Amino acid sequence: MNRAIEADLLLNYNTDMSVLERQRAHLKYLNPGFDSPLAGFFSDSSMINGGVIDGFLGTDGLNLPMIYGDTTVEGDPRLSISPETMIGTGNFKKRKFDTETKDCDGKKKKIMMMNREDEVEEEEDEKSKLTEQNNGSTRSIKKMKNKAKKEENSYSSDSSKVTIQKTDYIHVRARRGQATDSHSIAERVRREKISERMKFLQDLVPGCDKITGKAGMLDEIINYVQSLQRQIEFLSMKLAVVNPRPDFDMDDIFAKEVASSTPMTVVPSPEMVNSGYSHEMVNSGYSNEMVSSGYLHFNPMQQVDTTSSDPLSSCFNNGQAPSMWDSHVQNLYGSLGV
Amino acid sequence: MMSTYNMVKQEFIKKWITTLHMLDCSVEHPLNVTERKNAIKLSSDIAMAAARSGSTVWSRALISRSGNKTANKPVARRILKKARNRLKNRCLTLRRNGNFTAKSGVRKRTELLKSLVPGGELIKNKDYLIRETLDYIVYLRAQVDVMRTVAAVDSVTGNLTNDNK
Repeated sequence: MNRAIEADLLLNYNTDMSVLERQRAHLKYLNPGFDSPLAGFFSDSSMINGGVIDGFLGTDGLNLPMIYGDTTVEGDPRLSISPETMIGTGNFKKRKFDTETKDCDGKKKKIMMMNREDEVEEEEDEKSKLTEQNNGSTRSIKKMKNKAKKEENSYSSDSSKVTIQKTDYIHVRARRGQATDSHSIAERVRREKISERMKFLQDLVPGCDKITGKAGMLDEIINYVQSLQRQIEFLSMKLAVVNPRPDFDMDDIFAKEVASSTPMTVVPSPEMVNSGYSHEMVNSGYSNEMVSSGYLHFNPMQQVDTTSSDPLSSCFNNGQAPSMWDSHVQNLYGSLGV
Repeated sequence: MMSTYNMVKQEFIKKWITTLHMLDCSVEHPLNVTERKNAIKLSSDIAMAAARSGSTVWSRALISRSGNKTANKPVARRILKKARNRLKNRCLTLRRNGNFTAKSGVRKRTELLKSLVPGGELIKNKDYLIRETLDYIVYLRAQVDVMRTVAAVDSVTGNLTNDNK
């Protein structure tokens, strides 16, 4: 439940707050009295990991974080949670650090590693049902699963006391049967991060469920990227053949529209059905506009109804001029709220 | 999250229409098929990269690569002026590393992936490479979807006007 609330917070604040602010918000939410002792941690850890995530947030154009296909919103908050925000959450409460455990060399990375383990554990629990058979990652993930089950049982009854370390590094408990060398811990974290990304890729690249192992995954990704690029080549050639001029999107389509207006309402719908946007077209109740501007039906059309009909119909009546179209485009996209 | 994907497509369409317009104004007609195809592809690539327009390596590399292709230089430069300003002139120039053959399977494939993703050679960390690839795939898919729809519309309208004649 806690996690769902966190995810909610992140979903809501994703685009507004930087990673650092999100962390602080988290901490404030969880520990009202908590403020600055670990603030230094966060700024540093965010530089190590979250700084990258911040860097990838779009400044111009689309202000979207790195997109992972259909799992965007779920994926990203998790990823941005993982290094930093879990620091202040129940993980500290849950973990008990023994003095005899590995003493890292004071790198703050250790916190992230430890928290990342937790994060990945929880994710593993969530995703294990879906991806259990796809677990092509190393045995460390399996160990984490086992460990997660043990920990879930043992920590569920812990009190929520936050133990803040006075020293500037956190002892990391090495996992059972794993090397306790600091280098190998760092290596393990890196590998886990990569395998996590591979999982996102599995969601994104179709037909990847059966593939295990990095080489196979990379193969699939390479094939997919190559096929997409080839499709683009082919489609651009197709568009070049059909249209006499490069500037085809509006003028050409509209010219043909005006020339043969009525049949357009009926005939293109099979075409649109094939391209999979049929339901939106039907709902919109438009005919010419929908057909001509194929991009329109990427959105639910209700809001386009009143505002766009006038510019477009006037466009139809007057013939086409690029300048007029530009203003119509502006109107259109203004109405779409984009 | 289809809504995010739809946003991506919308952004792409906006940029593509703009770049197509600029392209059309700056090139003398008539163009043959190959030139048209190159123009379409160039404009759509630039539009895709400009739609992302964040700090991703691939978008900046794609824009800088499109600008350096000699055949398209004057046209591309003009279009890219806008995009470049938005990216605050942080385009990357691709340094051609010396060829080195990778022996093991994963390493070889990583090299291949780096060659596919624009700007991939510049990414040292495999982790970041995969992130970039994910992002790039989403935008590629948006581009393909849009082009496919427009092509479908175009083919239909083309058939109709032919029939009317």
